[in-house]
Amino acid sequence: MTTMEFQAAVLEHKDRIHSYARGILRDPEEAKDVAQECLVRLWRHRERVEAGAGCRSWLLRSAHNLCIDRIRRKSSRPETSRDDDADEPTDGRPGPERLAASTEVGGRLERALLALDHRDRAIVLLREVEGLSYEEIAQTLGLKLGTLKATLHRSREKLRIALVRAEVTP
Amino acid sequence: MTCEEIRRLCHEAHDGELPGGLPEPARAHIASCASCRELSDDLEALTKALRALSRVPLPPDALDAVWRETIHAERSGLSGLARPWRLAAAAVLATALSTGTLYYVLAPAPPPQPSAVELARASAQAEMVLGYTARALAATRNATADRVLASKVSPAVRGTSTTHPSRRP
Repeated sequence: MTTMEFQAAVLEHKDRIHSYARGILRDPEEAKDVAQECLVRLWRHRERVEAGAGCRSWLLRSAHNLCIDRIRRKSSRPETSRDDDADEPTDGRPGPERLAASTEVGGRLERALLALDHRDRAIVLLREVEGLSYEEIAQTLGLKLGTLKATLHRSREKLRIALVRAEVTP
Repeated sequence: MTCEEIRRLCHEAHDGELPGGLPEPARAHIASCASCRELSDDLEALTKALRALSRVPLPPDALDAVWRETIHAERSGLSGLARPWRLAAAAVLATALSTGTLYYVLAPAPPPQPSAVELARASAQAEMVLGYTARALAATRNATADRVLASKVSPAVRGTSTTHPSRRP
């Protein structure tokens, strides 16, 4: 990957990586750090990473691993303490997540998504938001295809049922 | 087909994992089963809602930090040399250093310097050899000139040529 390709990749994927990290970590500052570190890592490994779709997979896999590292490091902290302040960016302004969550559908969907464990949430985000194929997700997360499919379908059912129960599904 | 099988197929079709889309028996089932039809309809809405929820731009200060730690750091750090050239320069430097070190460690000691007497004797011998050589060259030159004059030049000129002072050794 050349310097020009690196610059293009950063501009193309920075929001994707940041959003993904935010979805997994639920902490704006940590998500920002992960996205930044992930893009710097891409620079350090640019001679081994192909530009294009391979770069997107590499970045998502790298972001996922960094998120998991942080979750493990913070595993002694209670999960609920992160949830309470997760929606609010540190600058005090409501971010796009907060704005989306301010609608009834967005808010319920957000809560249902946060109720999933981080691996199931990662699968849903990679499939529904990033549009990765089953094989790409399995490679990114190191899962077997059968496990991935079963988990994705089950998680999606949970999200759907949560919305149906709240009578907000369109 | 059971509802469970149909639901699995609905998920896979929604994800584009069934190249031909839902098979005909599944479509027939969905047409007649309200629960499965509801799932099929809801999956699309769910995806749209999730996509609307989750895109958050990276803050500008984080992007600035990325440029600082990557491209700008390289430009300011190594005077703009391209990476292959930097590697080549490093390789040449490393080779030169290692060769020099090896030479210093492994090279034989220099031969002893000659004494003043030996130098004087060698100079005298060299002068003597040079003198013999000069005289031999002059004799050869005179003999060659005489041979040329004997065959090409008239007798009158030949007579003067043998007495020319400049041709004496």
